[in-house]
Parts: sequence; structure tokens; C-alpha cells
Amino acid sequence: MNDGTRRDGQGVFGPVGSAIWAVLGLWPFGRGMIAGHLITMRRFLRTFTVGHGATTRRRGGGDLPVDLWWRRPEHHRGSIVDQDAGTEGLFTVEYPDERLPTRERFRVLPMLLYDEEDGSVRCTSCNICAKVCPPQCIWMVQAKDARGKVVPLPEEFYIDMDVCMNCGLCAEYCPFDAIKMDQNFELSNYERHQSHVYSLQDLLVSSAYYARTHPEAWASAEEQAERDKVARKKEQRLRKAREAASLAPEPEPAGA
Amino acid sequence: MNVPIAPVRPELAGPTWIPWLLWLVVFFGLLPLAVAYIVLAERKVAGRFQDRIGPNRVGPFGLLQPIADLLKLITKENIVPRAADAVTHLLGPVLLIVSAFLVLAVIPFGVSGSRAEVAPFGAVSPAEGSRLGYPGLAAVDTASGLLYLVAAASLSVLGVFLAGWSSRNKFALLGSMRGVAQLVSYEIPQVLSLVPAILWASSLSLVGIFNAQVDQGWFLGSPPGIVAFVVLMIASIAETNRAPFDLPEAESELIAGYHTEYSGMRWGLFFLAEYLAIIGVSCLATTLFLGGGMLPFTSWPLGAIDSVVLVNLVLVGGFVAKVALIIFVIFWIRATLPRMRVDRLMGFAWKILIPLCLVNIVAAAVWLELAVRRDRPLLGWLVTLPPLVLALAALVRLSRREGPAPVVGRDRLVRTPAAIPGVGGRDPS
Repeated sequence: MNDGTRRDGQGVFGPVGSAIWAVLGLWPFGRGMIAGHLITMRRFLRTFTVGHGATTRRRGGGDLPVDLWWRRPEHHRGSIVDQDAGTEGLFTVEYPDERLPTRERFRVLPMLLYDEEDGSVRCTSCNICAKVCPPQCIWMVQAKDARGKVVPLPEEFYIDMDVCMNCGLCAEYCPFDAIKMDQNFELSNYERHQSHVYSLQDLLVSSAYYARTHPEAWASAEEQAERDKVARKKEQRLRKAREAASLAPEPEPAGA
Repeated sequence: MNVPIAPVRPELAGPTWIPWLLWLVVFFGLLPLAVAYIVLAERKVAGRFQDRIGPNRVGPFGLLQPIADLLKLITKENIVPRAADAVTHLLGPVLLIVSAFLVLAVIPFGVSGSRAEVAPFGAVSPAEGSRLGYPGLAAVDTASGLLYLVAAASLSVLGVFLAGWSSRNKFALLGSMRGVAQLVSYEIPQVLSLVPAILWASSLSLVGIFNAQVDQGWFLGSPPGIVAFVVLMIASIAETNRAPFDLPEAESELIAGYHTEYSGMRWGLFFLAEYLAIIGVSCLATTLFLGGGMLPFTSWPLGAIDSVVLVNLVLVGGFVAKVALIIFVIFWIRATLPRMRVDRLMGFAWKILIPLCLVNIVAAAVWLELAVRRDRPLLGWLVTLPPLVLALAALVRLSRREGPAPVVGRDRLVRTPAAIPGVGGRDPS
């Protein structure tokens, strides 16, 4: 439907609209106003006939006509509603019951990965993320072993989520692919003084979780190669440790 | 005394306080409830016009939303500015709401008797040759009902002005000044558009007008009737400060206009008054031009069924349906048109609506003579339609003759060197 037909009201209601317009078109004044009313009426009617609005059954929450809105599991995790340029009719996404899909590049807070297979934390506590963080909301303490020797692991790791501006620079700069950006945006709670400084136990997630939320990045050649490199290194270290163990009676624990 | 009184039928006889109590229930129970749900309907309908759902969280379909809103408004703090005139500040919304209620007092929602046995006002005796009519289901039926209605409706101007003035707030004052100018201007076409109905019914009583439509069919069914109905609707939308005539409360310019300084339930009173006024003008238009609750092209339940309750089931149902339809159209217009400019608003009333109403009154007289008295409606259509169309076309053209209104600074914008004498390159001197 091009602009010209829209303007004089034809095509808005199909043949019926054309018939109406054949009569109204003789009248020289206020044509834009008449066409405008027809257009808004069309939008009004289409919310009942097209797409989301065509059914009284909501996709997420209560099945109308009687919405027993309490005790509904859907309220905790609603079904996903996708919209694009072709969406017609109702545009409302009833958020707690329904939600828009989160795209892969969507990012909120950083998270720390540990490997699914052996539970080893990727972070080496190198402090690059803390240095690069623009609002300076990351700080950490490096782990030390019993003899006070530095171990490439974080003892404590904190991110102040109130200060974090979700820029993702930490994830960009992390040389060990240990920090990734999480997609969870439902972060509200009733206590803001203690719970908003995220510590290791809040930040650590398994690599399987990351693989699930970021399938494309996980499967990309780049990350694949990085993972292979880490795995090779690990194996190397393991082999070294085994050799050391076979030589010396007291084996040094492996790096991770 | 010649004042005719409806003969009381035995089954309806009873203490007079019973009907008054019922009317009290209707006016202070049903109508505010209707207002609450019309507000919800407007939010839902406006939502659909904008591809949204509208409120649907409080109760099924959001049906308890008005209750929640009411509770919120009642429990909110009422703030009166220190510099405000406290008494007048209270009086403003009260006057508005009184005006809105008073208008509804004379509307006949149905019939209070199923037999045409009431002589019209002014008839010396029931057997004087004038036709007997049905008693109307109105709280008050006075001989000068329309006059009273117009007077009561114009009280709202006072309420708007008192509210704006007493707030001691520039936005409120500006809004109320605009409101007064607009309300006074649009009252004239509103009243003039009532004249055809008065002419045809030869009565100022709304029950009389209803009875005339029982005889003649809807007053909408004639060119002057259509014009009067449309003008009445336009003027009524302006009178109730609804979009596109909502200049007194233009939120983009005046915050909230005359009720900027109101909060809590006093603000709620403005809201209630606005929507009551919408119900009022819709009831007025229905009674005057859409034949009250009558079905189109027939007076069927009247005279055919002898039960008042059954007849009223049809009539009041039809009345409510028509009022709902008109209110929906008002929502539709609000969802479509942007706010008018002040000068165009005034120009529209004075240059188009009022002259058109004057022409329409003449056309209504012609229609009365041709179609009502001589019973030749086709001739009436042929004679009255062309002049009305021509008059409307001529008035629109005349009002646009001087082109668009001057805009401050526009000449500076379009001025080119050639347009300024003595500067243009071709000018040899």
C-alpha cells in the first residue's frame, strides 16, 4: 500500500473503504480528517483480529476470561514473545507473564566462568579487568598457598553491581576468557547495602551456562581455539605434575 | 391550575420518597459507578487505538482498576496552595460537579408509564386536540427543561474559572481563561443546534421532545437534524474540554490547566465532573436527535406492551446503547485528532459553526413546514439538503479566504533578497 492511496483513505478498508470514499470523495473539505479517523479505526479493529489480540487466551499469564493471577508458575518465567517489523495488531508484551527474547549480544553484569568438566576457575586474578573497568567497580584478592606463594586464582573477587555500567570492557580485555557478560536482568531485591556487592559465589557460573546463553560465541572458531589452548596447557601441566610426582615423593599440586 | 399531572396508576402508587430514593441511588450510586467504568473503558479503548491492551492487571480484564483508582484518590493527601483562596478553591470542583449532575436531572431515560396519557405542558386540558404523550422516566420533567439544561450546563464555566483563579497559579489562570473563552464560544452553537429539535417538538420539555420523536421518528432523519446533531456533538466535545478541544487542560503547554493545583479527591472531582459531563452531553444528544431509547424506524415497545418494566427494558437498554456509542465516538475522535490551535478553535466556532447553525434553523423551519406539517419528507430533503451543503462549503471557504493565520516571525523566514524592495539584485535604483 503506497503513500498515495493511504492519504486519500482508499485501501484502508479494502473495497468497503473504496466504496465509502467514492461517496465521501466528492466532499472537498476535511478529507484528511475523515481518512485519519478511518485509519485509527482500522488500527483499533485490527488489534482484535490480527496476531496477539485475535485470541482471548494470553500466551503468558491468565487464560482469560477469568485471570486467576496468583500462584501461576508463568509469572516467574513467562513464555517468550518475539516481535519484528512485520508484527501487527497488539504490541503489548505482558512482561512478567511474557517476555521479549534476549539476544546473544545482550549484556548486563559480568560473570566469572568455571569449567564444567573439572570445576577449575578460569580467572587467574591478573587484575586486568579491574584496571580497565571505567567506573572501577571490580576489585580482587589473589589467592596464596599455605607457604604464602602466589597462586593464579582469585581468593576474593568483587563487583559492585550498583556501580557497574554494563560496558563489557572487562570481558573484552580478559586474556583467559574468564569474564563473560551475563544476560540476567532481573536483579532487583529488597536489600541494597550488602547484596549489591557481588562476590565470587554470586559471580561464578559454569561454562555450560555460558554455552547455553551464548551458543554462537561458544561455537565460534575463536573461542574454540582458546578452549583448545587452555585444554592443551592443562594437559601439559598435568603431565608435568605427573612426571614430577613420579620423580619426587611429595607432588606439587597442579595449578588449578 | 392547568399543569397536567400524570395520572398515577394504582400499581405505581406509593409514598413519594420511594422514587426519590431510587433517583438518589441512580445519581449518586449508578452514575459515579458508570463514570468509573467509562474511565476504564476509555483507557482500554485508547489503548487499543494505540495497539496496546490497556489496564488488565487489577482483577480479570482490569475490571477492578476503577476501584483501585478510587481508593488511591480518596486516600491521597489534599494539598491546597498557601496562596490559594481556600473557599473558592473548594468551590470550583464542587460547582463543576453540581453542574454536571444538574444537567442529568431532566434527561428522560425511558418512560414511567406504558400508556400515552399525559397532556403536553401548556395544554389547557387533555382533550384540547394536542396529542397525549408518554410520561418520561426523568428525575424532573419541567416545561422549560432544555432552557434549564442549558443554564445548568453553563454553570461549569464558573467552576472552571473559579478553579483557575483561586489556585493563584499562572498555568491554572491561563487554562481557565482559555476555558472560559472556549466554553462561552461553543455554548452558542450548542444552544443554536438545539433549536431545530425545539421547533419540531414545539416543546422545551425533554419528555415532550421524546414524545414528538415517538410520533415523527428520530429527529436525526432529516438534513437539518443531521447538521444540528453533528454541530451539537462538536460543540459538546468542546464544552466538555475533550480532545481535540482540550486547550484549557493542554498538558504540553499548561501542565494540567485549571486543575493544576488540585490533588487527591478534589482532582478526582474534576475527573468525575468531566466524565459526568460527557455522559450528560451524550444523553442530551441521544434524547434530542436519536429518539431517546427508541429503536430506529419504529416505536415498537411503546403501545404494544403494557408492562412498564418490559417497555423500559427496551427503552433504557436502547438509551444506554446509544449513549455508549456516542461516548465511543468521542473516544475515537480523541484518539485521532491532535489539539487545535486557539485561533482556529475560535474561528471554527464563530466563522463556521454559528453561521451554519443560523442557516440550519431556517432549514429546520422549512423542514417543519414541508415534512412535518405537510408530510412530504422527500420534498423536504430536496429543499433543505442543497442549501445546507452549500452553506457549509461557503463558510469553510470564507473562513479560509485569508489563508493561514499569521505566524510570528514567518516573514523573516521566507524573506529572500528579491522579496525585500531595494535589496533585490534586479532593482536598478
